[in-house]
Amino acid sequence: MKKIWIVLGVIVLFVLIAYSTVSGKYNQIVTLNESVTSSWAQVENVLQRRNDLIPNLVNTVKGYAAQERDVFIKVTEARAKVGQAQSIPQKVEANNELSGALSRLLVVAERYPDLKSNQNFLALQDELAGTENRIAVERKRYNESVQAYNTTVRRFPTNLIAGMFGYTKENKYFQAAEGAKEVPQVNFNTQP
Amino acid sequence: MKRIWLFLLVFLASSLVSAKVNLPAPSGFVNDFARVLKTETTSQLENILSAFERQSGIEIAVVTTPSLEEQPIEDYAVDLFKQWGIGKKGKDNGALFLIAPNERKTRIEVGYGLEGAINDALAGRLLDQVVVPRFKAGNIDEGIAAGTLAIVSRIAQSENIAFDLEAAASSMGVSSRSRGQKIPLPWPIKILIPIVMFYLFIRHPWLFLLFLGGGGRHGGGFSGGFGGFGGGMSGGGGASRGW
Repeated sequence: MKKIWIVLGVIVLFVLIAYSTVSGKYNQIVTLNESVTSSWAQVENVLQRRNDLIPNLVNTVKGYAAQERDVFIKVTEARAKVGQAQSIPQKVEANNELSGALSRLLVVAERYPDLKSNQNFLALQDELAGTENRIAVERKRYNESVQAYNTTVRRFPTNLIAGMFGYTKENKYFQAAEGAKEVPQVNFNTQP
Repeated sequence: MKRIWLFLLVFLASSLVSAKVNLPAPSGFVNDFARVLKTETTSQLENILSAFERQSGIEIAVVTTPSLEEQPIEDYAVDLFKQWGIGKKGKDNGALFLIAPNERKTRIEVGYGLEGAINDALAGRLLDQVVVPRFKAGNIDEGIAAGTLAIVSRIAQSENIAFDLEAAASSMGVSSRSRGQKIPLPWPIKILIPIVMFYLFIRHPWLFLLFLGGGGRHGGGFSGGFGGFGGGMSGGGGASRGW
């Protein structure tokens, strides 16, 4: 009689442990998935912030360098593309293109000393630099949360639990364009 | 024997959560690791910042570092900010005034919750007008003091806080009382924790998991001592300058 109780106890314990493991892992996956979503929202937030800054920046530069039409067209086009992008990879690509266009705009601005000393332009330049830095920070946090999620979903034995509940989709990283981080690094002190 | 191993394991695991920025824990609001501040400046700024924190809950850290560890100051600042958790958790109402005298770089990093009070353009202007000219003239100590005061008064202004800088600066003794070390847990409790955890794990895996889940959400910031920072975060807002 005693033996049956022990066996039963062991089985119950085993089931309990198995259940708590599965539910714990499942909850972990849900949490990680949510953090990917929320960190992407944060990325979109700062990307939108940059988009909102651009008209103001373009107008200020135009006041001093109206003849540089190509650059303005490129920036405006790239900005429009960002607005149209739907999926995450499209958005990443459009924003990388915008980063490139903006960096050309800033290079052009370097050639106009009056513009460079304009207070409004200085302020905009700081806002843009800050925004680019925010994008870099939020992009890094997004990539970290994607990495945490992808690793968990792919690793054994979590992958079995993830598969059971349909968490099989991997998230894409946000790869920055080459040199995108250099955009805000226009230095007023050392450049001629 | 088993207990000792368990204790060692827990100890190792906690030390493995490595920090990205190689600086000691903060000992107050002003941390002069590069040793460029006069003692009076340090204690005066400490008085002001701790009074400001008590009145408004806003945490402003002033940090000088001997090295940026080959990183851009922007990355270093955001890592340090998160590591120390400057600002209250959830409110993110902190700011970091970072100075790297050897690299000749400085940055004001603003927590999420203060981005409205100090926008990037304002942070840049503040550095340009108040800090960089003094740094260029070689007055690091004065530049840091003036910059800190400008940050405090600017935040007080935009957050509608009636803060008396003069009174706070002269309120001596407050900082020496509020400073000090983190209150350590008595050793029997330190040893008991892993044993209790082990017992829970064996006897009540459910409770154990609950315990772990709850424990994971705490932490961030330091308790005791100067009050510690509250676990706030920043997202790269602010401005940097070189001189």
